[in-house]
Amino acid sequence: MTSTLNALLPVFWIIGTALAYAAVTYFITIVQEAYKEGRFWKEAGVFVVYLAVVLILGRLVFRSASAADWCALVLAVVGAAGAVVAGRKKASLATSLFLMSAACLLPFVINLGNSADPNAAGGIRSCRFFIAAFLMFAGVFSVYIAGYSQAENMFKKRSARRRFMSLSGATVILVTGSVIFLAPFVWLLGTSFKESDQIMKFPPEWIPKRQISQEFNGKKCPVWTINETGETVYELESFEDGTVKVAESGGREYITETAELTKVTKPGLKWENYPDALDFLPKSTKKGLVYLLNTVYVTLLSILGTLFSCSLVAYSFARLRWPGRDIVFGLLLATMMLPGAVTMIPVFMIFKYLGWVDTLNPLWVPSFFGSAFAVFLMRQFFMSIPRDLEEAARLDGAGYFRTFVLILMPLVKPALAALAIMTFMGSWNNFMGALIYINSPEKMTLAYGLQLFMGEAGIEYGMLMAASVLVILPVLIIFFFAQKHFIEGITLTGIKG
Amino acid sequence: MKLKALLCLILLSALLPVGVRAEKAETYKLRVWGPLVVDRSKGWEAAVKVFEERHPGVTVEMLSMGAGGMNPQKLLTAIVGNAPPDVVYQDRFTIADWASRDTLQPIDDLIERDRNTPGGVRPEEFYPAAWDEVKYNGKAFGVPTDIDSRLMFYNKKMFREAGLDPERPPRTWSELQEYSDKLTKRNKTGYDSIGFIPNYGNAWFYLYSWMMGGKFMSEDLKECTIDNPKSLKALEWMVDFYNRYDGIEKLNSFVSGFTGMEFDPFMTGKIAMRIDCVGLVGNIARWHPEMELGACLPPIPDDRYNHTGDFKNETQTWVTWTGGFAYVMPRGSKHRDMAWEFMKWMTSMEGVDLTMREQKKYNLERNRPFVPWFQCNRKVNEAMVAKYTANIEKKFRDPMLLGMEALDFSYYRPTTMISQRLWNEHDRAFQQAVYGMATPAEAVKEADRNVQGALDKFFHQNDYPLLNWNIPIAIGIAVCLILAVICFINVRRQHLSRIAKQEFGAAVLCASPWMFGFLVFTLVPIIMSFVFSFCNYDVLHPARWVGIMNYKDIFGAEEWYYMSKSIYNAFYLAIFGLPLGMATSLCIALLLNMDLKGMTWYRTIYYLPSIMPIVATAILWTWILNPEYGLINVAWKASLSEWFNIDPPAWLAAEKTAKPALILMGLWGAGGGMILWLAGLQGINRALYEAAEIDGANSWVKFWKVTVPMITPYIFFNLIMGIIGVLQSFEAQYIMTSGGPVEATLVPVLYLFNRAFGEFRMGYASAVAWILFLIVFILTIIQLKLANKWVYYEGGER
Repeated sequence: MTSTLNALLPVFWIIGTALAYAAVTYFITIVQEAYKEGRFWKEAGVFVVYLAVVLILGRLVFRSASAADWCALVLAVVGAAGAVVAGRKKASLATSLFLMSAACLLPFVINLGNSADPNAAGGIRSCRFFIAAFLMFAGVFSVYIAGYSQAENMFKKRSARRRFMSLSGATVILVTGSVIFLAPFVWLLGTSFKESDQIMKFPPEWIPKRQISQEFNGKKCPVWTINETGETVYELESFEDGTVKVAESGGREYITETAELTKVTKPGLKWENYPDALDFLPKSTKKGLVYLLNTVYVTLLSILGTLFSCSLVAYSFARLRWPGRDIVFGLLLATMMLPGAVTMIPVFMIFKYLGWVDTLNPLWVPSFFGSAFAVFLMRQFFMSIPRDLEEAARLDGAGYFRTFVLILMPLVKPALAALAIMTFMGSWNNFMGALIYINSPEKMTLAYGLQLFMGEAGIEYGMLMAASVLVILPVLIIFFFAQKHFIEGITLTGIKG
Repeated sequence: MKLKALLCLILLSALLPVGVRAEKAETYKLRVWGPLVVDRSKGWEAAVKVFEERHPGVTVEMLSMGAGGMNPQKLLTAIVGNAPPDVVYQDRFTIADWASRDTLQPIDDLIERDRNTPGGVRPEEFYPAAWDEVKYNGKAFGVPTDIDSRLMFYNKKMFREAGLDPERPPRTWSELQEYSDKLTKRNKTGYDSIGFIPNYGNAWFYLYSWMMGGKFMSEDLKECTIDNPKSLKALEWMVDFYNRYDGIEKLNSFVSGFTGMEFDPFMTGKIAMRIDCVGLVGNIARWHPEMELGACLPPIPDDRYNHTGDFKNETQTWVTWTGGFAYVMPRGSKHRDMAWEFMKWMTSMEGVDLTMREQKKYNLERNRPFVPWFQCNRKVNEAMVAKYTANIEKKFRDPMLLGMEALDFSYYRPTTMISQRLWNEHDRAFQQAVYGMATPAEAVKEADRNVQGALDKFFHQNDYPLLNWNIPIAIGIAVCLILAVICFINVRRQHLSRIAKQEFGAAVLCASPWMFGFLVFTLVPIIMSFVFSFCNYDVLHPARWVGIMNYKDIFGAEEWYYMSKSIYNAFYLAIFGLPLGMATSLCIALLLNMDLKGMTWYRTIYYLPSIMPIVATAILWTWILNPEYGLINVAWKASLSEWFNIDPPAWLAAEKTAKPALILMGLWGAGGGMILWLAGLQGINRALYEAAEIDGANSWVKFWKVTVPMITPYIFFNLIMGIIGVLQSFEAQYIMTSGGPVEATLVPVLYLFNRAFGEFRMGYASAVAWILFLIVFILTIIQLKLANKWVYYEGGER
């Protein structure tokens, strides 16, 4: 019975999600209306009182560890019942908040079975998903009925209502998507602060935790509990063979295996992963500082080179008339199709001939000779600028280069900014170049250094993640502050040929 | 003003690294690559310190330079680029391979010079197996340092629990099977524990083949004999063993759940028996000293044990094999004498003793037991083992002594110039057979053919004429001249005015950076690569003209397997991944185009993954896709497994799901494409939508009839760039899977990179690049032709 119901659960979830969308729409409407009519705070107050009463009652009545869960259940049922009533009348904010509380507290309800006696399996525990799904279904469905009538009241016009619904729908999807897209980052950051035994924990934990240390006989000692008895013991000394010397609070001391113990933890960060990761690098890299400097050096020169060469070349293609221009531009576009693999080997040999293997030069010198994609972007942008200003300048006797520097350059700043950021990202993350050309640690860049590091510190995930965070951080910061220029630069440029 | 400040900053930073790079003139650095074995590093550091003290002015820099062992690509590029390390700690069995390509220096003169000095190297003092491995064509190329033999280790506690006698380990293959069955415990979805996995640890097809009496190479090393009935029997036995336990994928996903020594499945009692190097003892002592370790010689075929059948007259009953490392000197090493001193010091009695003493001291300070490792120099080894095993636990000492005895009759891999290739092929034959992609007979046959092909090529490489560079250069110059003349005449014919001429001059000057770059970084390389594709070229030797052999090779049975696989993989990723990625990013762009509040935030969040350094992404996703602890499978187990009993996939660990895993990872970065879509969406004239609305169109119709046609140029652009991008993808595969499992993620550029920079077959790799180019070219042409049918350009012009 329960297994069939559990199997049906995805269906409940799908319906539930669809209805949650309607519920959000409804909620936004109600809040907006309450604001407009100036009764928001009053109604919110009513709700807080309601919540407090339910919680206090719950505590008084049940007085057990799982009281909160029972409260949630009560809340959910009351909320669901309220929703049915609200569906008929014009709902007040307080009612709607009751409804929302029902939805919000459902996770606690899902936990209901968890906190119940684990020995009483088969009963409430195994059908907890079913209970949760049913409640969600009932609660949200009634909210939906209420919400739809409410939305109808609010937007008499069909198109306005539809637009509102689709906007709030988009919000729900975007927020969900954001959570999914951000999860790996959060995970990365969390792991970089974890102890290695927590990293390997199953099921995984999101929040980094550290073992608590407490004063024992005048000494700070890590705290453990014994698995069998649950008694608290203090660690006096730990040995590498997996045993620890512990003391009971009564004073009895003995040696036991860590497998018999559980750490007492509280949320806390293991900052040491970061310095440890840096210490792991070869000495000649000065704790990775050399990597950073090399990367900055290569990146800045690449940006400089790209901006200089590409804007100049694009100017020639976009603004100057010369025989054969279109053929040459076609050639430029064609090089975009050329796989880099074709030229990789000969270019390696050219740099080898120049004696540039194991120097940073191969990583930035090519940028001074333009890249097809960047030239193309810049040309498109140049094309979108009206010719009037430029022609005026030409009439005033300015040469081609003067016109370019004084008139056009200021106008294409957004595109230059976008290009600079794009080059920054590309150059900062350039892995293959360093992989082929760089051999000495004192000439490595961050991207490649990290990969080498990965090979050596394979086991220490905490350190590895810390190192990754350090490499990503500058990119994140720059992107966050520059993203407006970046995205607008590209958006403005367009790619239409 | 801001611009100026930025400029100053740029100039300043250009000066900075100069300061960092400055070195003192009177001292120099001896660069040693490859020696990072974590559990020996403290001892090595101490030995190096003493070495530095004895040789003032020398600092030794030790670097691992690549995951695990030595990354061949790194070493080759360094040697070719004339910036090699001075000493390399190299896996011995590959020395012949490297020496045959003139990448190493012979050191016979140095050995001869110092043989009678106190610290000299005397070949007769070494285990013959070790010394033979550093020799190629009669010359010695290195000094062997450590050595290892394979034993079977087992967990006595698990034996007891399964009702087996812990003091009576299996001796024959049938006993091994019987023991393994008793020790394997299954559960609903997989295993709780497994008795034995043939290729888990360090056994390989090599060992089992030797046990059956098979040999991979003929005595004169000119013929590959991997396809012989004895080796085949061994392989069949291995495959049968895997199939007894539901095949390799199940077993792999079980094993790959336990990463790192702390969770090692053997040490934590998940796998009962394991054939591995004696070095494992040190790891067990370090990580799981509580383990009840037993060791014996690896079980052998029943006939061999009973001296019946094929083995009636066999004198050597037990079989094990040995390998290890040696210090070698790459060609172009700048400090030959000092490098020699270093090699001598690190393998001398004094140096080794110091290394072990210091490592022991370090270990004991941390309450870690110290277990020595074997030395190739018999005298040194016997002294060290006697000295450093005296006080360790019996369960650790016994395997050491047994392992040392085994060194006297250990097999070693044939010292051929294609040793690496032979290794790869023997492993591939095993993989092919065990994954059921070929029968064992087919697998060894193919391996044999491939290795023989490489051998034949090696022996005939000098039959081809040297490439005369004058011909391509002359042709190139002639073509350039003709083009220049045509351009000149054309320009002349247009009768440009004075102003137009001026403009022409300015334009060419402006475009000159790109034109120069095009010439140097595109045109010349293209021509060179085209010429190379008809040559045999390894950068170290002059190119030899081989005609269309490289192209023939690509389509030959041996390479075509990899080539077709890589192209198939690229197309798989393109066909499934690209539309998915484009659809995802288009959806995001559509949502973001809706004038919502908090747009900046959403935009940043969705774009973030695509700006992550690929290395960081790879590290992160290797973890997320981990079959046991990864986020995805944890979520999977809590939902799909719970409700529908669907087992979570092993993602990158399994052949079938490796590509979907990469696609999944690619979807995370789909936000990168969103920006271009946004540009397209914002370029659509609002009036079109309004007109559609008046005609009664709903949003679905509007999307298909207005939005999609208007953004077709963007779809087209994304498609072309996307296909080129997929065909050129490399980094994720290189870092995360190196093309595995079983070439499931081998992509063309990775294949090309391995051939070019891993094996330095530049000519062949160039040919591959041209085939790749041809594919991209044809695809692009097809798309351009089709584009007229569906791509709409506003204003009707292109």
